[in-house]
Amino acid sequence: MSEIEQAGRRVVPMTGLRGVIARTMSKGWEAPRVALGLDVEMTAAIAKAKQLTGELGAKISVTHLILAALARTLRSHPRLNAIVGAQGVEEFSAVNIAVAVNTADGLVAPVIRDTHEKSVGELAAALANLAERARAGGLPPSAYQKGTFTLSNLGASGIDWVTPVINPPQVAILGVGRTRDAVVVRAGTPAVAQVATLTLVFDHRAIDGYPAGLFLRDLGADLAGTGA
Amino acid sequence: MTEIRLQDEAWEETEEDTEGLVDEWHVKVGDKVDAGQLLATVIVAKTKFEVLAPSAGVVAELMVPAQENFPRGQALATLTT
Repeated sequence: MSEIEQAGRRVVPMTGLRGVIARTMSKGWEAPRVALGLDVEMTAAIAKAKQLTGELGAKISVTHLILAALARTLRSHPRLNAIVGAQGVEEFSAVNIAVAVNTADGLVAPVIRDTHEKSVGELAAALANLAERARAGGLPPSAYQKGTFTLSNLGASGIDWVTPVINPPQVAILGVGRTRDAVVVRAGTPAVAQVATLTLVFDHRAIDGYPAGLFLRDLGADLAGTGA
Repeated sequence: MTEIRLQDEAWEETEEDTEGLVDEWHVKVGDKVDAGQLLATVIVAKTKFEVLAPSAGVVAELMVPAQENFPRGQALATLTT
């Protein structure tokens, strides 16, 4: 990307990856979108990530557990595992989650194929491989296509919550904030727990608020260890 | 006359309606080019490709302007040899 520098002013042209991102975001912004948020207790997920890291000898993070929980929940809520196509809303049984990855040139979202068929260890390996190749510019165009849902975990940047832009033609995206200490109320008594805010942004042309809300509730319950 | 197209590997396993984007032309009409010279940078999905001259020649026509999309199989430029 060529940049124009003058005294105190730098222009970054919207070409290259920046241009592609600009076009994709504008397209995604056309959807009449709604955002739903849920605070989820992450204590069980953090313990599970630590346990799996020990067992597998590979770094397992909360992101990998969120991917696994997302895949399970999308299997039981296929209306969210969908795209807006020429003939209407197309729902899929296979879950292919695109994962937002930050690179030096900008945002990309390579797709983990058949996310629902992978173990947490396999998800960690697949994501590490995709992220590494994406950062090196070594992924073929097809690696960015045929996603059925997108995960954008911005927790590492330190923010509490995010409402991401839908990755077109998909109908929904999940934004994840950092895991933080928060006061929760258990049986009427305040306690400190580790909490993350999940934000679901969905295309209201394809799905309504109530079923989308049930999806987010089930995802939260799965992650908190109180669901499936 | 040689028609210049994006290499086939760029389209492998992509969705049917996938389009390419000419990000930048590195030559203009009338330029003399050598075999292997960089003609254009093209982006498909989020992957960058370099389109190189298959042989020496003179750029006769640029069919897709920079920052415009094009479909699979579209000729991007012609070279007279």
